Amino acid sequence: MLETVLIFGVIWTSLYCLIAMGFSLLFGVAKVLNLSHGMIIMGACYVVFLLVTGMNWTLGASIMGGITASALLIVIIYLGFIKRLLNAPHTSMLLLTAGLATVIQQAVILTVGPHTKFVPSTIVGSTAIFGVVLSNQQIISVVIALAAIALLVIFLQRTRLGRAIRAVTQDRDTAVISGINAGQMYLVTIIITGILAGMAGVLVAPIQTVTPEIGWEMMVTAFTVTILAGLGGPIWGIVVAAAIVAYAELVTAFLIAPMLKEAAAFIIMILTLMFRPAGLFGKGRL
Amino acid sequence: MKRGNFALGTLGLVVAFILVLVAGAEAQPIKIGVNSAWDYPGGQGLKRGAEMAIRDLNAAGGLLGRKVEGVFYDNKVDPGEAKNATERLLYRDKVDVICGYWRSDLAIVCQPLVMEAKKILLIGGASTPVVTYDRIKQDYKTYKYTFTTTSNTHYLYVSQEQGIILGLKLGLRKIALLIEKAAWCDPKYDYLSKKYADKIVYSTRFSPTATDFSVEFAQAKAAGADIIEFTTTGRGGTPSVKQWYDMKIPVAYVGYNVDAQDPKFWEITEGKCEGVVTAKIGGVMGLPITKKSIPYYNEYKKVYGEYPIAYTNGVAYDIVMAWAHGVKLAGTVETEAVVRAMERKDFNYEGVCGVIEYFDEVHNPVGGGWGKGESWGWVSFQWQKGKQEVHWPGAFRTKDMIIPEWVKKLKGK
Repeated sequence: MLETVLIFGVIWTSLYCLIAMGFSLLFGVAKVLNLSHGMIIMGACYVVFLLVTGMNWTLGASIMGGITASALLIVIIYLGFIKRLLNAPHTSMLLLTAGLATVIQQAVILTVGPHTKFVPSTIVGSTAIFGVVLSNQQIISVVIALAAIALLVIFLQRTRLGRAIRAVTQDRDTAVISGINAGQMYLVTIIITGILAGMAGVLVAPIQTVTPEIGWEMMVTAFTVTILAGLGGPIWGIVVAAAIVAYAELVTAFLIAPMLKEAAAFIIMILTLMFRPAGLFGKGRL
Repeated sequence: MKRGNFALGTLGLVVAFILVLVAGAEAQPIKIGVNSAWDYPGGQGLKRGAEMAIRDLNAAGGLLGRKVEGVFYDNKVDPGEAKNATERLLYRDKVDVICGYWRSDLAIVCQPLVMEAKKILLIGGASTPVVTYDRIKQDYKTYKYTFTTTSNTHYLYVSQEQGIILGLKLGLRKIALLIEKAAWCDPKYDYLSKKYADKIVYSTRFSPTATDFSVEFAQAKAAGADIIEFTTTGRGGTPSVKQWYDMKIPVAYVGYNVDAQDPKFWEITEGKCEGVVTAKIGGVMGLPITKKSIPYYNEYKKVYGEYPIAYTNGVAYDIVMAWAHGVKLAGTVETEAVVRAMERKDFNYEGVCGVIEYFDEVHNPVGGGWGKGESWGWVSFQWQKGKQEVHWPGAFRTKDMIIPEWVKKLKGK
């Protein structure tokens, strides 16, 4: 039983990381709280579904299509809306992006419908790990998620562009004086955020069901993990926070009641905001 | 004499005027109000069922020689919207009858409005016992205008329990209950918990939005369960089946899974649903429940480009057609006369989901293979090699229930 909790904890930790990473990164670099982040993930799920079932694309091509579509969507949102409010207070940004999230959700309901959709698995079969049988889809999702996080860390630590992004994150004005184009860094970050959101969508879609509501659920997850890690905190902080949320949910289900599993994330969010508003590793409070 | 002629002439004119008025009224179309939610499979099914019934009635020359007209309102599954729509149908559109309410909560809220107006309410979907078992039984005079083609939840369990009954007959002994935390499931959970108290080794409730059941399945397996009774109308239907198969949980999966009713469920789950047992209204599965079932099934595909998904389209079609049969028997659309006609011992209408009789005192349907206290119209079936094979009731059996090979193999270890 314990091994089930431990192994499923790893699966959900990696997926939660991917869901929250883009949201956290965008706040860290551009101080943008993008509440449409969950809907962008949801959009990727729907694009994959439509390409596979409506246009008979192969699953691999559809996944690439889903990731590209979410990157494009967030770039459009950034250039069309977010960029104009970059210097506005957080509340304006929250209202703007929450409004955009609702528009995206309604657009999906109007065009695709509110019914549950299903995305086929990328890979079939099962494998036993320490006696716990997992679908290969779950295993591949963990591998891809962890690889994406590792690549992001390497990109931010080792590449010139990544270092420039970090410089903007740490001190925008000094970075600009040093010759870094902050606007370009924002755009690069937006594209990375879109790719991460798209990856989260295409990995979660075959494991879960796809409905217009999952956008808000993803948003709650992203928000909780980011709040717990701390806004603007390190990437490994996101990994730790995602693990805390994932294991809290599983342990709640195991020890108390499965019904309360979803409440665990909200309780964590409330407790963090009340007693540690800067999060575990954050540099500023919300 | 002149005065007498004048009086006679006046009387003649009055009579002629009344006749013209009556004839005019008779020529007016009969209005059926449809109150449902278009954007949900259940609500859309109800709307389409009513649409097909109205179409078929008009194709057969109308009702009592009058055209039948549908007045449709989308209640968006919102109780306030549903109440407004009900009042608009009753007092502005002045419909003769209302068909609606796939969701129980909306039926509970709107039923008193329709009863107050003394109009017939045809429920096509909601299965709460409140609208029938509670209200009609306790206050017949007020609520007698309600008729349904959906067995109330007291009866619905008979079809949903078949997986456990047959599983026990196949030699399985220990049961795990995994039942959604929803109002309609509460009596079912209590009923099964009591009835199988000595066989239940694990039981839990889960949220209708839950999609991960890894902990629940692992706990059921650890408790040594042979059968999982999984009940959901929420989002967990498909993920639970995939997870059960992927995690290789060596138990029989039975119960009530709405997703598994979908004819495309085999493709959706990539064949992982082999052995899954659930229940559905047989008349919308392409089964020859009555001689009208298969023609309806094919006609539905022709009209809407897909086979029926939700049970509501079949039961909504049947309830409208059964009411029309009552109107024909009564020779009028007048409410009291139609109620009397539908309650007659010899009232017998063959629909697509079964034969409908209303001798049950709470206006639940009976007849056509299902007795009083049984899940009228429902069949229990199992996914076997890509097909939905019926094992209950016996009259419609296509194959016996089996235990999936991989479950047997793992159990053997």
